[in-house]
Amino acid sequence: MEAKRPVDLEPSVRVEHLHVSFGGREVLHDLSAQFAPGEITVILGRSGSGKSTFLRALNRLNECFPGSATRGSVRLKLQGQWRDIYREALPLTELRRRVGMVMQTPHLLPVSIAANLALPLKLVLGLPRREIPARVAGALKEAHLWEEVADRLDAPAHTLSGGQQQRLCLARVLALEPEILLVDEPTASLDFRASLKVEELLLSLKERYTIIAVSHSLSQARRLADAALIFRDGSVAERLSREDLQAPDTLQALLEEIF
Amino acid sequence: MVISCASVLAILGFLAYFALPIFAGGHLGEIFSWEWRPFQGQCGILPMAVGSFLLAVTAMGLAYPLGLGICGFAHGLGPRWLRRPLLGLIHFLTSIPTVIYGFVSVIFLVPLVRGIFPESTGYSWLTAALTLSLMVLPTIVLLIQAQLQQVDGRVRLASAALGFSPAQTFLWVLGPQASRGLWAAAVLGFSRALGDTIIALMVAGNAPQVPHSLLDSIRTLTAHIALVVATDSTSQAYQSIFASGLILFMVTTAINLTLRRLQSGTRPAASHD
Repeated sequence: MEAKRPVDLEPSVRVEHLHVSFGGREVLHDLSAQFAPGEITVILGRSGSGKSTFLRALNRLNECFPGSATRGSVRLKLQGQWRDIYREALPLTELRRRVGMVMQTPHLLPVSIAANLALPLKLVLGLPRREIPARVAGALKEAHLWEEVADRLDAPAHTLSGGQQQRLCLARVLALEPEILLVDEPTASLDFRASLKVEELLLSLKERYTIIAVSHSLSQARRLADAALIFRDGSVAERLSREDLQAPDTLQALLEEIF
Repeated sequence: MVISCASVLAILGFLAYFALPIFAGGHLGEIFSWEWRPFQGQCGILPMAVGSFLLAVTAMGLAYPLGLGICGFAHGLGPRWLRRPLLGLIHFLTSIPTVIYGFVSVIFLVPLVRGIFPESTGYSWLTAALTLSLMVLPTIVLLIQAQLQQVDGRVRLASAALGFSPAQTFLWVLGPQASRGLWAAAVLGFSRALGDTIIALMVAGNAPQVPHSLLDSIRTLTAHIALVVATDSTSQAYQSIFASGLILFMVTTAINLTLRRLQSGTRPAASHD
């Protein structure tokens, strides 16, 4: 297997001196990191170390929470161009469409399975009605969900199982054709089998996207990650390569560090 | 439950008993006619029924879009810092006695309307509709607001993360979720507007006629009851108030039943865990 080394790749996300605070309490301090396309970077760290806040800084979703303030630079390579998302007037709808996010628990829209995908396609992409069904089917296939839901697309989305819901969320994001995928503990609410399915899915997608995933599980990180960032108190304490993650002595050190 | 049912039935019985002579005595045609000239024996209450209906509909026509707009403003369309003061103001409006609305309207709005439209006395359908719309506004806002607040926070976050604008989220996600609240606000707001007495009595002018324009004076059924009770107690005119009361009672009961149906309807698929 030809493993691509992080150093060889031109990054698609550059974060420099990022500070994020809520109501004056700083959650991320002077954080710098970069992420490459075609790779899964897993972020590990204790709860409260700022992992989710960091992900939300990349699509400016922290602004949906009261009292948030962000300093520093986050530059993303979108459609071949570097965009500084906090300085340039890049419309939020455009940014969030290009930087797709899947959250810790399935965040469904309270509509049918098909409408969960169709509504963003209609509202965000402005896709004509006749093109939507094909796109919905394509995304569901990409998320390995099509066979399970093809005969009940009009059923309410919440009737799906937890794992299916999470894959539906992923399909919904993929339908919008993002370039960067932010995945926040996608298997936190799932059982082992459902988790494996989501992990397989992420691995199958990594060639085409820059994937940044937060995880609470070291074994998951070892299965998924091409690189890992260890967060401590709101900044990056360590960066590990895939080889580092597999090495037993690193593992022991990590276990003590994180858990 | 038993007591409230019994009192509702008692009211209905009372109204029906007193309205009975109208039905039994063959005065039905006189009461349900278009002329109110009690001294000539014409005691038609239809102009008042029309007045009540028109006033309630116009007040709602003003208040409902405004209420919806305020809720939209408080849920993402407006700046976040304005949300609290705005909703605080609406809460404050609920605590003002209705008579104060009427009083302030007599002092400020009536002269204003008279000033802008010199052909009107200022005591008009328009003045009453404007005042009443302010009075029913909190009912509408608080009902819609209560429903919007129940919408799962994750739904909002999901919409934002997908790239929906606040307006799209409100229109396509929150609105449909709050549809029962939207209906309840319309029904209950209309019921309040229809049942209001004091504002209509103070600023609508009380002329028992079918208005031809917004600047005409109108009389509502509620104001009619208040006026007749205050001045008369024997004639057929007096009996007309029982018919008025019966109409109001039946309409508001119908509205309440509609509301109950709405409330017992299946819950939208908002939460699933």
